[in-house]
Amino acid sequence: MRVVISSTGNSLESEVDVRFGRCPYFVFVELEDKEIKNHEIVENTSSKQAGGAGITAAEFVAKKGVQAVLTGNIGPRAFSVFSQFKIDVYPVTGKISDAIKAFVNSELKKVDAPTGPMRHKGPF
Amino acid sequence: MKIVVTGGKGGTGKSTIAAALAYELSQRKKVLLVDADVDCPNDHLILSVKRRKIKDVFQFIPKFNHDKCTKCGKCAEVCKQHSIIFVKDKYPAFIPDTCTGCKACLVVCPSGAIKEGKKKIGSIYRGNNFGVELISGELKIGELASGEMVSETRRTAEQLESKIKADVTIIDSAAGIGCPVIASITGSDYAVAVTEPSPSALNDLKRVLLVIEHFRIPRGIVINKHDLSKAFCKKIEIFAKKNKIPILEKIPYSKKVIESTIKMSPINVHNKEYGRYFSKILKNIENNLI
Repeated sequence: MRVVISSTGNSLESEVDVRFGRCPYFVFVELEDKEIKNHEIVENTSSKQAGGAGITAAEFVAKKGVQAVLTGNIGPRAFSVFSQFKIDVYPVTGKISDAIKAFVNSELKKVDAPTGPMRHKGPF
Repeated sequence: MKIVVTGGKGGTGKSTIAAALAYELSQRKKVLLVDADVDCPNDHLILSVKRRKIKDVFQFIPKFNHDKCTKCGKCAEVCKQHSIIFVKDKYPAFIPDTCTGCKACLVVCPSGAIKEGKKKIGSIYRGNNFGVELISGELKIGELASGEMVSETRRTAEQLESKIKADVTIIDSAAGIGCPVIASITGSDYAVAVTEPSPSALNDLKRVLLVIEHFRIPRGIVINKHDLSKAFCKKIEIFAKKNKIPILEKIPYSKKVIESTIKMSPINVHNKEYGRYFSKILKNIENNLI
């Protein structure tokens, strides 16, 4: 199964980024038998947009065929896209590798509503 | 008879003058004032009107029928607003926020899977005070279709115009020259361009005059707060003369105007000496149109 995590850095030891739409990197992980079979780290080009970052970021990861999203906060528009595509969103913090471990061990709870407001290019 | 009050630059006194003109005229004619600044309507404050909502305004949004959808993705392809997201083998996702109702998706769908839905983009209010009937349009925060909201406000005003048998409709437009201003100017019989003696105001005045001239509407200029700069006021008068645009009146700057705005009444209600400025403007408009 394919999962994506919003990341502050470009390694599996980076911290999960609290923002989904404007995180600097996305870490795509291929999981098999609760193990990471392979992973791919991609720059998030939506982060520099003036507006609509949540939507374009959601579109980008959805097009990569993910079945779940691990992130800090998810805003209303990105959440709506994932909800309509039936892609589950799991809030999580800490290191990417730890977050994946928690996910495969079913320790994370998916959300049924956006967890954060729409944010823009500000310093938040 | 429809008079639009515009001017380009914000803060020159459009609403102040539109409300005062409406009050002046209401003493002898039936007047309808239309607040077409749907982003930030103020006329109900200047006239101390207790508005009541008379309708909500809606805009098209697509309604997707998954039974008919073949997941071809054409709707997302044509959506310029990025409101429709398509991913292979999934039904399209739709985000209503950025949709401006162009209906391209409905037109392009080959399977008839898109029908007409709606979302609220604003409301229209009505009220009256000081003998002036007011129609006020207000855009819902975050919505993009300002121009459409102005058009709907004007359509509602038109209906009320016939109902109350208004002699004159005064349209208070927004600042700038964008869609909401264009939607305010179109179909008017006369345009009053309100300006003030400053380079920014003259610059913006020239731009809005180009819009007015596109519609070939007779126009005149009101130089508000004219005594703030004698020199620049002269510049505006020279510009007007060169372009054969009449100066309808020059109104001096006065703290009394600000005070009456704060007390929520048009300047000429409690300061009768101001009446002459507005009756002069109305007289000059009348002469221009003969």
